[in-house]
Amino acid sequence: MRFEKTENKFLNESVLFGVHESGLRVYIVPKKGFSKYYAIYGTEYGSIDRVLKFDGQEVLLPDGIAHFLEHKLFEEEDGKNAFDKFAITGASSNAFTSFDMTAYLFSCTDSFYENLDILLEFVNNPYFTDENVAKEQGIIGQEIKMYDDDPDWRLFFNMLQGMYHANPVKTDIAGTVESISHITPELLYKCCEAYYNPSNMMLVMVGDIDEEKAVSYIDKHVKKDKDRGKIEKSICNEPSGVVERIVRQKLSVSKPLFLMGFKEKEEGIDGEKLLMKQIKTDILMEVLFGKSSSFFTELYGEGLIDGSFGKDSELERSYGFSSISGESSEPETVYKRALEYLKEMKEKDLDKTAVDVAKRVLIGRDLRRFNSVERMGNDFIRSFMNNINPLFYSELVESVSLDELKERLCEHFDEECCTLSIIEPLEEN
Amino acid sequence: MKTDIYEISKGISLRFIETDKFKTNVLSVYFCIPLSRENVTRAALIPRVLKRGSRKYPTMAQLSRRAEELYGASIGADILKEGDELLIRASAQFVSDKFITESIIKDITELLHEFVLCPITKDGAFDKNYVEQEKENARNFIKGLINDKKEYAQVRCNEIMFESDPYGNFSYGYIEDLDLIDEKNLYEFYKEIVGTADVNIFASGSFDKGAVKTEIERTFGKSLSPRNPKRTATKLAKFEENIKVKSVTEEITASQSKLCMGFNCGIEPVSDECYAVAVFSCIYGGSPFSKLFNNVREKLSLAYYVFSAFNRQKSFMKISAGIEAAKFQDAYDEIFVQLDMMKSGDFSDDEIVSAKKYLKTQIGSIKDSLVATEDFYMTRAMMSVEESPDEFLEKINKVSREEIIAVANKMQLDTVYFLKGVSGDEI
Repeated sequence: MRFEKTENKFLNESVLFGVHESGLRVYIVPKKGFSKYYAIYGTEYGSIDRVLKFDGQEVLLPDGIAHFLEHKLFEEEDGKNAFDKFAITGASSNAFTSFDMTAYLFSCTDSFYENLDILLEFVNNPYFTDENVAKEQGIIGQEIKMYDDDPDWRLFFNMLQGMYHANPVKTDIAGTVESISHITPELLYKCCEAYYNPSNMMLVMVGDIDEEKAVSYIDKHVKKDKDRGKIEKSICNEPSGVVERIVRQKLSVSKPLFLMGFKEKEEGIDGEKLLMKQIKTDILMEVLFGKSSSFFTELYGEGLIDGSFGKDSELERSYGFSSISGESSEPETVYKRALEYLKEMKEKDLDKTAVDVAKRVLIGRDLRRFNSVERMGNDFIRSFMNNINPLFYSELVESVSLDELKERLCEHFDEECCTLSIIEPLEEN
Repeated sequence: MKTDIYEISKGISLRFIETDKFKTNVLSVYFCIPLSRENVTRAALIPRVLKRGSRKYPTMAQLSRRAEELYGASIGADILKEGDELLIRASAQFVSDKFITESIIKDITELLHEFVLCPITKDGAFDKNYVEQEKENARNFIKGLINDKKEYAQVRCNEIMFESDPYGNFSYGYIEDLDLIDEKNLYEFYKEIVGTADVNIFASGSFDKGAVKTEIERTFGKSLSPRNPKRTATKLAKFEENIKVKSVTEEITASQSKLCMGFNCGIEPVSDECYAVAVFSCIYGGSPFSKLFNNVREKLSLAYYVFSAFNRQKSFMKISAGIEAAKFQDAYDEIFVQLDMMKSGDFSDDEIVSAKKYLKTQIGSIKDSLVATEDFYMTRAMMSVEESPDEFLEKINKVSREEIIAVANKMQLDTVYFLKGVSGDEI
């Protein structure tokens, strides 16, 4: 197979891309001098894929099945666990399920190709029985309970549930004890056949990698006859506006936690258009809510927020939101102040110095990504799935104008699209 | 990767870790003071107060803005507990001059110096308002610990295990002690640290070494000399015959329970037995293929997470598990079934090989991170152990089965702490 190279000479970083005959998209990020290699093998399948359109049929899947499948794939027919195989070579392996992706990964200091062999083998050879599915229902049941107690996790999903009417991103990734009880070996096999087919997947390898050798292992495990093409995604037609402005829950916390998010209005875009939107939003979040912003320093000075205050923006193809979060004894005051502040900011011109400083912060942050093979693998697979080349971020950051930022500010930070999630302490002590 | 140490002046060392594989550099200054009840709460406030402002950048906004201008350098301070000592670490992470169009290393050194050594003061005291607010933030932070029950259970277990030992102190301090602190006595404490603590400076990454050394001498060297610091020796976790096991159960409103256990090991940090413990720990509970993980979690579904970890300075092992309250006894028993297997040598040669390879990967991770590499060297400097990551691995590779069995037999149960989750109406 042939690879095409893109390079950023100033950063001294490059990416090789090729499509394997099976349909699998393969990326190699050459990285010399590091002890570790990293590989991440992912499918564009996550918790938001609730309806499987495959073989002319539409199957409604139980919530949490993508995550369940991720756990179950590690188990192998010989009774062994893929973790044990990685252990023999000294690699550390893991997997995760997000809203729109499931990925299997390992990092190692040597025996990279042996580990690649294990990774490609176990993900392509599912083994499910009634017994092993029943056992996993117990383990994941425990995991779900742990999330039920986790204030940050609840804070996050409560916000999504308040924010979204139809988008399945509001459903808990692990599902519920009830929903996972409907999972059967047949259903798992079906999901594998569809979502784990080569055209729906991607392999990203970071390190000092020999292309030919890596491809020989892909040839061995990823077969053309398994190709079913890219699986069609359901469109959710999310209405504008939120379900609820404020969502509350009581849990064992000492001080209220808050998470205030703005729902992204535009769905289904990718590539540079999505990247530019991410960049504009990141600059704005830095200017509006960064550590030197008037919002942060004033509210901190008044004791309304503390060092736990944070900001985040997650804009993907099928969902998106920007948020601020933290602990506060008066979450509703923070909420009101943030809305007033945004209203004021929309009426004023953006401060050019603040924007220039924010751009520098983003450029510095981008450079740090290249410090870690894991970070590159994890960030880049996400970029690649969104059809984004991650090597030229800094140049695009420089190109954003004040007018574009102003426009984005007015459009994205809309009160109608805002939900405040609060976790309150159980009782007064 | 190359390392070098210089003595800037008595009590101030500067260590370089040179490597050009990263896009960023790290510059850190460590102040080492004794770990004690008197010190923890005050020490934990220092980083909080420093970030509020300096003479040149009197507000948090100005201080943050300066760091942002330097390509979003992260400047901060924190507290680390290393054996019976407490470290206040101030550090800057910043992009290497090679990847930007200007040189910022001098600005960074000046900013870090300004941040640590030129706090804003009034009439020989810190700013009253800043101190009061940060006391409130510290109070909330300590209270907030209960949010993370896994961490909370480990802290409680540690307090019980080391009840009459400085190591039992919680490094972030105590709410009741905050009331004793004001802007005056906190500033006195700060001056005492700046005047007397042992100082270690680390410069890691890729830069002109001579220039960095000159900058450090001009800033920190000048402000901190002369000095005559004293160090505190760390005592090992007590290890004696027929120890009485401390067992404590506490209740909390939660659907899951946490089990934490502490074991004494009685091994000096400079002893070669430490390498055998590192391998033992991987096989027993410190890796994703460990006996605890495979049996307690995977085979018997008794826990969602379970792991063990060894602390080399104090020489103790802790075990931490998330379980259902009803499965306490089963999980507890299985933890000992697996420990007995380790003690009797019931583990395979493959498990030893896997553990050694796993440790090699772990060391690889350390070498692939500047912060972790610095931490590796600093922890060892505290124990007076001079070893590089590669030297550590060499020792690991020499560990034999017999040595693993021998250290397994040293594990002596000291403390069992059970944080029992009950539903709201049971409490």
